[in-house]
Amino acid sequence: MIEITNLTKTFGKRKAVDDISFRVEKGEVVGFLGPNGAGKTTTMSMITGFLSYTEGSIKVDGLEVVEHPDEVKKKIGYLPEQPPLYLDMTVTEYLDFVYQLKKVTAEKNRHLKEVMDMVRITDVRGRLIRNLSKGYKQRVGLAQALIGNPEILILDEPTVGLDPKQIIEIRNVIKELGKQRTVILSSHILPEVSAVCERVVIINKGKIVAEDTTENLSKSTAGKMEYTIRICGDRGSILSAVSSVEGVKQAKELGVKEPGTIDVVVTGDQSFDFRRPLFNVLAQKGLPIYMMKSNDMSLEDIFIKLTQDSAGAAKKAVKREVKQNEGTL
Amino acid sequence: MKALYKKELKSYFQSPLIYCIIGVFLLFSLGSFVINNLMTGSPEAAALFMGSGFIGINFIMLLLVPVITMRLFTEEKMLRTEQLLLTSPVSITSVVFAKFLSAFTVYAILIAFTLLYVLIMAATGTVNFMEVLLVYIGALLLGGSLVSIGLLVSSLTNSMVTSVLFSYGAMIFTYFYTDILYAVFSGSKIMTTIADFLSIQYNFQGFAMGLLSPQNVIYYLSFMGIFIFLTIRVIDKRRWA
Repeated sequence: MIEITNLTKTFGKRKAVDDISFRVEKGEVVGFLGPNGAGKTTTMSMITGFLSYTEGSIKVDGLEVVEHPDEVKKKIGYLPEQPPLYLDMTVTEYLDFVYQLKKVTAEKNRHLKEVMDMVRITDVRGRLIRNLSKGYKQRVGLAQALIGNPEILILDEPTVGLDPKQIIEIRNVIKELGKQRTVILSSHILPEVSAVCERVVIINKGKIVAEDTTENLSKSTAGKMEYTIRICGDRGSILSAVSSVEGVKQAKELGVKEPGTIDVVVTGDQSFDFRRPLFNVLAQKGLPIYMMKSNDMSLEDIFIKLTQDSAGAAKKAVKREVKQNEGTL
Repeated sequence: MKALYKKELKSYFQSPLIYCIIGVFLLFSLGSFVINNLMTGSPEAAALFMGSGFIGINFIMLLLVPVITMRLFTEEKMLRTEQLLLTSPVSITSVVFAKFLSAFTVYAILIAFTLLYVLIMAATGTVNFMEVLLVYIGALLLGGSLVSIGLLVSSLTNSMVTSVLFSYGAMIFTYFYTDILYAVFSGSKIMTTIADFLSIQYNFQGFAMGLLSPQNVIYYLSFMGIFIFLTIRVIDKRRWA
């Protein structure tokens, strides 16, 4: 469906996208993952024909984007990072305008109603877009991308800035949409991608660093399990007790977050679940567990794994991780 | 293109700014009517537009057109809606034309208000309607040229303030650059002819005198053509940056 080969885009001297190639098959939901400034938006803009490319080719259904812009644009629904909304229009006026702009042939009223129902904005259809909440604006943006029933949806960080409830709702909408369409979704939040996408392309500094199914990626990159545990007791006995547990590779003290307790980061192998023995040991020693929290592999961790060519980068990353942990506690 | 044109016009008339523009225009054009027509007792549309000194509709338009055109592309860039326009199956050319025509329509609507003064002149004196028609054709062509300058400037700038200021700069320069040529080459007949040929004001004089000369029409049409073409290139170029 979408075939990208040796795509390069330079802005002045800076290479925003550097020789990337990947394919997206029909009906696939692909996550496009990367930190800020990795080149996600640039790549997506190029697929939609908003930006041109310096080298390489993008084929949509066998058609080169720069050579057949109109045909390709008809096949694609695009939701940019900031939804392209005219604030002085009502939702219906706006969607009506997009309908005309995209030269859709489907019967108008029914089509607009379908789209509005799909993203659940029917109840705000008469309101000015300016007055809508961020979540609703995002949905109107998504509705805009759906007008004309495009075969391909390109969504640039569709859940950024939404509250958790809205994030779940938008995710469900995207999942629903992905059943009949090809979807490319960019994000820098790993759980989001693993919740929605079948396959992930990870991009960093304009280059693809990994491309696989979400399952394989987490398997290949995870490998360890890590928990932050808050234990009540004195420092010495806690550390010696935790270190003695079967399966625990490393126990690192985080410090006192609550009087009388100590927070410890415990790392082990994924092959062996150390939680049960850990509980038993601590129970025997009379050291109650006040809290136990899994430290999920974040995108950052996976990045570090994937781009770990220099020890310096890894060290920095560990420091950042500890900071993050402290921040969450 | 029709959809975008309609949308543009609608958003013009939904914003309070347009009513300020209309108000200012009515005030100043009335001034021009009083000074150039009533006080001198000349029932000529040409006087209404060209006026004496700075009081004439053509000069008022120089001050108002930048305010009309400032939002054309600047606003799209600010709202990021240009992404919607440029990823839709419409050509850049039709987007630019729709924008141009919408601003031009606003200009034409303003000009249409002045027909009221012509009616007053017709009621109280003798008006040559052929001359009036030619003056209005000339005014539309001149206005189209001003709008095309504003269009190009708005495609180049990212904020309305810069857009409006640069448009003023560009339009005032276009109005008066030939005066510099006249001053520098005051002795040379050839240079004065060239300056006349290039002058956005001098080409209006043909219409004001009741002449429909192809040279003047072609001048304004090519003026618009060049600026519209440059706008299309600027927008296309941004994709290749």
